[in-house]
Amino acid sequence: MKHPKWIALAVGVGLLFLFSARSENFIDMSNLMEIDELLDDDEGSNRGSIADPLEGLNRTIFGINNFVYKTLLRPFTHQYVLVVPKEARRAVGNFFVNLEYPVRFTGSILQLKIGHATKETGKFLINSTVGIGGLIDVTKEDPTFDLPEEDIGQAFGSWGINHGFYIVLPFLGPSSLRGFAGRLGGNTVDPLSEPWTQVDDTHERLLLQGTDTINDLPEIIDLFYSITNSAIDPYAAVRNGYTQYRANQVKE
Amino acid sequence: MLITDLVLRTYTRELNNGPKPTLKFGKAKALTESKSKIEIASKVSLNGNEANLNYRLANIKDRGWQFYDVLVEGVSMVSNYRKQFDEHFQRKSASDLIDLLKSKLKEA
Repeated sequence: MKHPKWIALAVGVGLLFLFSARSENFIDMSNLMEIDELLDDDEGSNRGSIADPLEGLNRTIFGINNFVYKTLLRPFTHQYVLVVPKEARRAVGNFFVNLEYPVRFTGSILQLKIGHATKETGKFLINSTVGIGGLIDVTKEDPTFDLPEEDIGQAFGSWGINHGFYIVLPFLGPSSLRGFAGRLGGNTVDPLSEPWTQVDDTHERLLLQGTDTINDLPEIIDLFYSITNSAIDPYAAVRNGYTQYRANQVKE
Repeated sequence: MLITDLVLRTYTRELNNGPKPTLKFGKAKALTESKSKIEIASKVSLNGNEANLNYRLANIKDRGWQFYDVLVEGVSMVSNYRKQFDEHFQRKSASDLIDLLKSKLKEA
């Protein structure tokens, strides 16, 4: 091995590695792109297609939802934000996020993300105890507990089940057949919703579910408002936004 | 540009008098092998809410580095508008589009 030839070869190989590693650190100036080819190879620029055979019906429901959001819900959420202190809203939000742990757990398990499921369990245990029943998100600053939110619709997606087609649900807004089936699946493990609810009193249950929905509404309505106001075709904008968003969630 | 005005106006209106968001920037990531396109990740927080906002830049001949897309929670604004244009031109004309943008700008 001490033969000069071997040493030369070794140095040569080393230099080759060094160069290939080095050249990666520089931008290839001879290979700048033309403005026309900007979006050609872009992952994402052509994303977000979904079949929409019920477009006529969907557009009608979208129109009604839009009307309800703008005329009834938006004035209400503005008042809600004014009346309820920010800290209280955050605590209520944390509480319900914590409570939906079974949905995230099941979503993770169905995708065989055992690590995720374990961390979700840890987070749930810590927040339920130290975080006073979930009112405080103790784990918020800890990056190990910063997990992408899993649900059952995403698990279906990761199994290769396609969206099916796009549906706009009355009041709830955009979904797909897959997402809708996932939502029903989520309901069976969600401690609040039917069929296997942990809160037997219907009145109490609806009150809790209502609080959860109302607490999340202001941000959702504001976002919806920004999207539809800046859109050329609000229906197409929301449909594409939904499809892209779900595609990303499945990928994570 | 009508579309630029419309997007700017609808998305900045909330920021006019309210509290300012805080920004945290992450690392840049190359999108192509030649590294002529990159994505810079950032997190925007406002009123206790946090959102992922990623910027895409390209190094373009005779122009240098320029922004070409913004992704909000992974949703590309450029591809969102592309789909809307597709939808619009399947049924309506370019002059319809300009009229629509003008009327939207008045409302915004």
